[in-house]
Amino acid sequence: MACEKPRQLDLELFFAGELDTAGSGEMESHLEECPVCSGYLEELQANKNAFLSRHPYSSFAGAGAAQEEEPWYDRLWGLFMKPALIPVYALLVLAVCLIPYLASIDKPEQEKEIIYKGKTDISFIYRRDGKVYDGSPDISFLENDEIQIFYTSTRYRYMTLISVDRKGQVSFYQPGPDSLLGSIEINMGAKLAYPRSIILDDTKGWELFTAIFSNKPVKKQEVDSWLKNKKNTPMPDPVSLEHELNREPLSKESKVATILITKG
Amino acid sequence: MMIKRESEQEIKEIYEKYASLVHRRCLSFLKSEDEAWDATQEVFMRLIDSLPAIKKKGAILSWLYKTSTNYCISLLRKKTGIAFDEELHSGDGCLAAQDKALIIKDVVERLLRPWDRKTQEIVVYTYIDGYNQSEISRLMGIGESTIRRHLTRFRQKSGQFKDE
Repeated sequence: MACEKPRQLDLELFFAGELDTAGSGEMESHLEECPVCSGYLEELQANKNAFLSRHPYSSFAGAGAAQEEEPWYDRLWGLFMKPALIPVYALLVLAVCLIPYLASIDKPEQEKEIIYKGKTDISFIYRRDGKVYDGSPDISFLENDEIQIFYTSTRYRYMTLISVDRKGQVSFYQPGPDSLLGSIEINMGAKLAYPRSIILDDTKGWELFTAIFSNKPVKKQEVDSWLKNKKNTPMPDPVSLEHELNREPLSKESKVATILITKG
Repeated sequence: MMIKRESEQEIKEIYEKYASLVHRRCLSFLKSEDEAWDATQEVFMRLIDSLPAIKKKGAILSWLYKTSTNYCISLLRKKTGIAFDEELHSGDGCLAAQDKALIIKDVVERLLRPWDRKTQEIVVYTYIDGYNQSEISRLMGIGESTIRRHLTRFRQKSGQFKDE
């Protein structure tokens, strides 16, 4: 007999395979004669198909978490099991061995300057009193100015946006205060809008907006550990801090872009 | 603690089985595809952390519903404003999604805030999801009399709903 409205919870449990044998049998019989419930089940299936085509498991932030915690020798062995890729892995191993060595060499000041002043991957506009202006670090910003960050990314899939102020206070903007993650998944392209604007508070002094681009999700804890090594007591001047963050990103597979503003 | 390779496959199966249901639920609260996706990932990250204990109880769906409900409620309570987006603010018909988001936020802020977590869950399951008391009892693992008690107190103090 047809129901007036679908047996929502039973159908969702059935759909998830959590009904016991008797319950599943009863539900299967019921579905043969109830278009309301069978329609709801079809809706759940269509929703699932659409969802997984848009967000397959590989796009989930936690995917690969189990593999990442495997012993390094298991992972390395798995990589070297592909004979055709051995030359590539050999070069990778060489690069991994060389990077710490190269990083430890003192570079000339000029070369450090080039790294520090690298390509801009973030820019911004701001809104004040209802009007929108192009952002510039030369402007002195005020409480309630609303900043919209734009980013350019051609190879990174995740972005963590933080700000550090003169007191060393670190603020994360997405996904939210309850989240363990500091990063969000981003689209690739040029001058794309970060999904939330930032309203400036009343603290005075400088604020360093820092975008960390990466190819895997980043936890807030990782960012805190990274910054802990950079923030000394007393707090370094913002130019030095900006230099340090750009010089030594969160990881070898990440990239940093910064904007330093002043709030008056 | 080392996690074995087979856990990855297990997580993938659980994700493919349940993630669309969680996402659907988060979307009904947050009214934003991006935020619902972030919330879904957050809930599944927490699931991975607690998986052995949840599997012992054998009720993954009810755990996911409870966690996503509480997470979305706390997100809505902490939202301080709507993203500055020229496109959203410039068109005529495009405020609908934001209006809906504001309404849900308002409901959560005004009506749910004063209540304990259990009552919040019961109210959400009743008035937003439309589950009956028997279904809520199965989801939460509590008796129907307990559910009725919470709902009665909520209706009396909120004054927003007629007594049934």
